[in-house]
Amino acid sequence: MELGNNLKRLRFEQDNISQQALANAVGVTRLTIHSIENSKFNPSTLLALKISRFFGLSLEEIFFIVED
Amino acid sequence: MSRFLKSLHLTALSFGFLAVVAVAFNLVIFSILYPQVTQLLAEKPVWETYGVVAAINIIVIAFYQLFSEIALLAHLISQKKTSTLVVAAIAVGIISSLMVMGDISLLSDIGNEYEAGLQTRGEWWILFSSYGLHVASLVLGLIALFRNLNQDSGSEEPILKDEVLFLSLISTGIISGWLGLLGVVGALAANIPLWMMERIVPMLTIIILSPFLVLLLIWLLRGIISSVKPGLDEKQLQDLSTASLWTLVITLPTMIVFFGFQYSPLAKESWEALWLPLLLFLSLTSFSSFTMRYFREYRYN
Repeated sequence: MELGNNLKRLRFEQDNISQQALANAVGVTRLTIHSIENSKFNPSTLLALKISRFFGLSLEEIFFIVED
Repeated sequence: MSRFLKSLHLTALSFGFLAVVAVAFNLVIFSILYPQVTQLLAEKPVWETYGVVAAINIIVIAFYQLFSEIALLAHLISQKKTSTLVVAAIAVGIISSLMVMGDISLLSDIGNEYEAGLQTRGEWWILFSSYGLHVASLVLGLIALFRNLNQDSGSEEPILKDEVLFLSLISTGIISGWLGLLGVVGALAANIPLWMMERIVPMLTIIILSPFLVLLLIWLLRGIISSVKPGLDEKQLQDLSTASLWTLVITLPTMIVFFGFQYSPLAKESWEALWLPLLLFLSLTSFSSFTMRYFREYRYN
């Protein structure tokens, strides 16, 4: 099982904000946001909550489990 | 690129062109003097005149190194992207800068030992190797400075969490590590006597480590000055932790092997002076390479 996410779509829907802008907002590097979007890195609970607060959505609306 | 940064680059480039002439001139002078000095045939007025010219050229090379390092480091800190070329130019440039000071000491040693009627082949070998580094530094530095001048500075979006300096630091660790490993293996193969090893190995180890240490210092200072705490985000911390684990897995057994090897009849006399730098550079290469592997486990958009 992997952790999937809708980050790329949500960034596009939210005035097409850049990875850098999202990274600045949640306190990580742009590369970390890139890694999360490509499912190369699973964010911590704290970081996931910061991202969901940034978009004003619940965790389940941003992150989901990808079954094998 | 700001006007100040641009003027730094242009100044460095100007000194760079002069340094190319200076390095070429010195290589010609050394090629003329080497057979005469090693055969104890050089006449004092001749090599003294050549020595003055070589010293002036060394000053030109030193000015180029100073301005090019400042320009490239300023570019690295202020720009949004780094490149292997810029990092390599900085790393080799710092080592070359320190070797310029070594050149002055070497030439002085050669002069004193020649007057005492002693053999100077070892010092000449080191001097020519040093000039190989100066040539590499000139090539890398001039290309990097040219490309930086023409590079678009990209987005003006602010960056609160640094990744460029971290990436450059790790890249420099890889370069310093590999240079050190090659140097140690070369020294082992060269059968250099122990007394000479004990003189030059500690100094050369510090010189080869210096690019990594300079960038580490800049990264730490930036972290202290920056208002954003902590300096590393969670992915960087995870990458560093995983790299540390793999480095431990590699270096612990290696240390045991090195310890046992010193009692083996195969161990040369020089092993006594070289096992610690070898382990140090192996640790640095391993740690930096694994960190880079995990850090760049993706492609940029």
